Amino acid sequence: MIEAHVVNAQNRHLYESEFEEFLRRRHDYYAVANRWVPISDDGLELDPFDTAQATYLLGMLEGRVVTSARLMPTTIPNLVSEKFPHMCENIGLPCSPEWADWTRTYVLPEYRGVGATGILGQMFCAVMEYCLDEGITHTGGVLQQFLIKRWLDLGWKVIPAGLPRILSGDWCLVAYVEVTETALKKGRAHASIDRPLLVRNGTQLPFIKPSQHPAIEAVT
Amino acid sequence: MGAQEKTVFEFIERVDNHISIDHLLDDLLQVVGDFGIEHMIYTGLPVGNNSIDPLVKTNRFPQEWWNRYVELDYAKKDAVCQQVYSTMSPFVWHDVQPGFTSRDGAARIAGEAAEHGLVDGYIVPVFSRDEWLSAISFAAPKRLILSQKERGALNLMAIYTSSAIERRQQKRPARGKLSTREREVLLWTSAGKSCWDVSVILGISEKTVRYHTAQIRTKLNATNTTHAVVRALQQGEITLGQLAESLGDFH
Repeated sequence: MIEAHVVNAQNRHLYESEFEEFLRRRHDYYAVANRWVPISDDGLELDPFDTAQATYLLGMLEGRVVTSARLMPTTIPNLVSEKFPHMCENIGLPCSPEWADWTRTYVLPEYRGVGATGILGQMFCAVMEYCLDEGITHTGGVLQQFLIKRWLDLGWKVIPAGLPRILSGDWCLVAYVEVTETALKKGRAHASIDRPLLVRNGTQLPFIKPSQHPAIEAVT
Repeated sequence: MGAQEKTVFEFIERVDNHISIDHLLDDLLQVVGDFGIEHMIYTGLPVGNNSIDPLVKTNRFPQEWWNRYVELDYAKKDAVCQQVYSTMSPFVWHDVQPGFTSRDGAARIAGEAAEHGLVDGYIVPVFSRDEWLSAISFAAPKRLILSQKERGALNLMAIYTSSAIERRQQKRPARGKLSTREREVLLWTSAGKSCWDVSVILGISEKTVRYHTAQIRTKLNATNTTHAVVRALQQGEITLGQLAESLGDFH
């Protein structure tokens, strides 16, 4: 079972080697294997959205980063808002502190098993767990269409932002899952997870800034 | 957003609200009717020499055609079905690659399908909830002209429908886990052993073996031993390794 370490701008120094490993494996996958982004000189893959506002979940197993996720508020520039706003014809472009843009989830090829109990299912549940903790109501982004079946199969409610379209040869769409206790419970049952997967070390940052929190806004 | 897209997103919203799978399929066929589609099937794809029939999850193909397809084991030669083994990309039947259409028997199957009113279609490969290669195939009585937008809409509806069907079928109370003894009986039976053989091997009475095989069929909702083995594999009750071992192929 993976441990999903929450990494942000304040505690990243605790994860220097893991974070570099994550960027390197990301480069192997996104630049070298799939040619989705240019190959970089240092072998690390960063994009314009790797900013101080991004939160990472590093899925660790046997001392290695085997899977990951990057979450950021939809109120700041994100992959969907900058590259794929035209793919949200159903619900409009999300822009809310409680809607998180979810990117960069993949599993190292040697850890890719089949079945719902695999690493991917664990990472999905870790993201759901984090979102519940942080008061996020929806999370998602652009993904290959076959992946939404994995979400649906977990018993999750999935909102398609628009119709699937072909991007770099693959059918992709923008979609968001509803974050609920029930979704976490169903996801865990289907993926055979019996405990929380999140690990928080060092300084933690709230995903939703207090000034943007609707409950606090109502008080002030 | 156009009227057709609106209809599609409305369908997605109510996909889990139907009172039965049949109602869901009625709704789906109503919506895809606008695309020129009249029939659909959701099925797993067989491996090796197995029949496609036990892998079917829902079927709204004309019965007469499907009986013939199963009886003559057309899945093995049908170009559309064969192409799914090599790609996860959805495709229109008439765009199937020449490498598959030129195979022995493929043209005849396509011709017979057309005679039964399945002139063209669109197939969306998916992985089932238990990771089995599967597909939703839509069939039409005329040649299909589908825009990219319409293809995207069909992909989306196929994915939501397939997941909804599987989650509903999972809830069927008839399904129960096999006991260790039932698993043993199934593996020996699949290796071609008779009830008497199995009774000797396991040191139990022949009557008990018969009882176990009946239980296995009920639990797996299977009509015969082959069907039971396929379902047990699909549902992870037994593994390919165990099966190979029982057949003596595994050293």
